[in-house]
Amino acid sequence: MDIKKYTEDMIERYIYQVNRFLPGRNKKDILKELRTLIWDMIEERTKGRTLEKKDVEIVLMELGTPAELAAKYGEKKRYLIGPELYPRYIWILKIVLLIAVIAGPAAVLISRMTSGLDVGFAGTGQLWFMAVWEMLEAIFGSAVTAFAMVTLIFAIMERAGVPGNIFSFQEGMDFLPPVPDKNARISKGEPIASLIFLMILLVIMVFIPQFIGAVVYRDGVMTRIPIFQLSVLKRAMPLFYIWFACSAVAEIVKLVEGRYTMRLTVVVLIGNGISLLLSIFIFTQFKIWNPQFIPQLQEAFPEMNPDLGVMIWNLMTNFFLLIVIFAILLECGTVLYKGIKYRDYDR
Amino acid sequence: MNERQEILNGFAVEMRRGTVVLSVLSRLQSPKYGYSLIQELKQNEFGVEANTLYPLLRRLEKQQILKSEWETQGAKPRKYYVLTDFGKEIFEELKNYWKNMQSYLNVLVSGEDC
Repeated sequence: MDIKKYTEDMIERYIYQVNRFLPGRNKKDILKELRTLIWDMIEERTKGRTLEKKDVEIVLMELGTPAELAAKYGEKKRYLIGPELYPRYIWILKIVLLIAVIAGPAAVLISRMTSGLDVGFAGTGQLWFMAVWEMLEAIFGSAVTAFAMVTLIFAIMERAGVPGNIFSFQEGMDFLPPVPDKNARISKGEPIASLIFLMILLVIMVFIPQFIGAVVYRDGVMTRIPIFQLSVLKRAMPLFYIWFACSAVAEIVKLVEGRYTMRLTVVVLIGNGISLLLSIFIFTQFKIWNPQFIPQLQEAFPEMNPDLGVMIWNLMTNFFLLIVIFAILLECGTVLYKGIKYRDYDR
Repeated sequence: MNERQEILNGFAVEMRRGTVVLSVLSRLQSPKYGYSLIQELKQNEFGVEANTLYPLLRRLEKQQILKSEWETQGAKPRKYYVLTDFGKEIFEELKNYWKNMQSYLNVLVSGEDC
């Protein structure tokens, strides 16, 4: 191939590639200008001597790869998450990753601890390998999912032009609230632990509610007696999701706020109020407890005292709601007390 | 390249980057095409690369600091850029800013008042 032809061919190849990466309008105009530039640069190199193969190569190298050059023409943001949102992104990513990496495998572990009995303990070596593998899978899977979700949300926020102070709802010097009293602070660990617990609870209730209950071995046969009436539980699930969301929001606000404030008190009171009503509604309006639990248990253990079993069951199911109500009210009292006590730190 | 050179180059590049617009505007009182501008600015180490200048010219045109016209009479089609009236105003102000900055920095780096 003669040199002139080779040079022209290389230039067209380069222009074609730039065109592929070039954003938006005026493409033709830019490419036309670029073609002249390349020839100018080649002529500057040869300065009257005959054209050589390496001339066009060196010039194109100087211009950089087509993608690099095209990117320089782009005015759009060349990053997924910009410096304004980045600190918040990292802050949230760390927390979400921590929760995912603990809650994901924990849910798997809990389900395996019960369902693993199905397999029996034959070939324990292999079983161990399987268990370790499954845990690693769960850790990796939850971490990747959490990372992807957080990154996606922030990337969308970046594109939508959400400002970096979106999480503080404040103006002027308000971004520097007074240093809170030691007792007014909420350590990160407390809400994170609650969120991990909530996540595990959610996973179990959604995917493996049948595993909550008694596991009975009799004559080498395993029976599982679930504590919940699964069909009823399924109908109550939407309410449970709302309950879960309210609890999670309250914990997230604690995490973001980092101290007791009236604002936090209001959010937690509203969230807990809804949780309270939902709990009462679920446990009184739905026959959520498995009525066959005691009879089935009795069947498995005929030697069990029937009266005692029924008594414990009644006590437990009745007290459960009371315990839930007590726990919710206790938290309401705490945030109300601390919120009022340390309200001076609010504006 | 050793580490010392790298650090030095990093700072030098940073410093030059801020002055590219001013040097380009200063040369565009009369119409010029991209490559002639490169050659004009290439006289010393403060030159600007083609892959920086060409996109920059486009941006300045979009900001209405420059206007352009194709010249198709010659052997190759060339796009000529020149300052708009708005561009001249911007250039004047940038020039003053530069002069002030220069005298301020000269005092600083001379270290006479230390």
